Amino acid sequence: MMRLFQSSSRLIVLAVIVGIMAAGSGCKSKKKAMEAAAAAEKAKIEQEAELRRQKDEEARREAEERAKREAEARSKVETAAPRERLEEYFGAIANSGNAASANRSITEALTLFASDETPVLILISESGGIKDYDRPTTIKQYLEYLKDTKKNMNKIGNLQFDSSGKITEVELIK
Amino acid sequence: MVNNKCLFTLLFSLFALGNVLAQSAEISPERKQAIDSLALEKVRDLSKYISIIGNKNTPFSEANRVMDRAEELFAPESEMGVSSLSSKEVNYYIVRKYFERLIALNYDRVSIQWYDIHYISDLERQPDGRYVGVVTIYQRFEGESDDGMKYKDTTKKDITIYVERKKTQIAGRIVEFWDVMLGDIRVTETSA
Repeated sequence: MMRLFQSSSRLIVLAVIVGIMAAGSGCKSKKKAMEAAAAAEKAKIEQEAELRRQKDEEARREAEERAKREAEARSKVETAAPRERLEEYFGAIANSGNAASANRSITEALTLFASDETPVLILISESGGIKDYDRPTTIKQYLEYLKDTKKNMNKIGNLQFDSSGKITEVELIK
Repeated sequence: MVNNKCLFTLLFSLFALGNVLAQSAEISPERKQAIDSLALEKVRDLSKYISIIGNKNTPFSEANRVMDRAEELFAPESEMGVSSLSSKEVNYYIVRKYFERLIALNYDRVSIQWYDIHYISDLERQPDGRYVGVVTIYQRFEGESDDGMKYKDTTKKDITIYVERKKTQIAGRIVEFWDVMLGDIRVTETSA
């Protein structure tokens, strides 16, 4: 009986030791697993951060390109629109049926210009790199010339603009 | 004697060389044609201006503005000849005075038309670098009053044209241009 008791105690102690050892081993693997999970989580976060950064960079680049395209388009409209409007005004003034109508068109057309005194150059010929101009005039006088002579024979060449989009110089081509 | 001959030959050669160089300084036919056209256009512009100034329906302020533009076409002190069927005499007035007389004409309706505008003497380069030519025009004048007074005549007039290369500064840069100026306008014929 005593012997049975002793062997049972040994077994219990052994079981306890094994249990403790097993518990110790389980904690270690759990810690390792947690560390691995944390590392994986960290890697995942870093990867996501990198993806976000790449996406942000791409979005920024796209926004910049879009802004550039829009600015170019706007600039194109800004330079094309006054030219077309000016052509229309030239025609309206030269073909106007009465002085009042011509004067209205002149007043409207002058709003496209930085000043009534905006210089107008009329190119009469260009050969061998030499440009021949008529006597320079001002936009107000040129618009009045269209009204008086009723002829609109010159084409619009170069237009110069100031920072606010007003025309500061006109080159016409005969 | 031999020395004199040599000197004469040398001077003649220099003169001939000068002429050749002057010729080479002339402009290309394309550029010359553009200048010819420009000068003719100035004459046509004057014809429009005279028609506006003479028209009794033109408001005084407009006539004054157009007089300024018309005057700018002329070289200073240029004169305009005026004739009539009733007199062989031709009177000449400074162009501004002529325009003012035109506005003041004692008719209720005035029509002035220029036609058959053409060169009778091509623009030729002068020693001073200017180009000078003569353009002829025919002017049909018709004046009518409400009281029945009527007058019509056709006048042939010669206009001297001066064209000069000039420079001006625009937006800080030098621009060269051809300045066409009309000179005296002489009456050569007057008929009914």
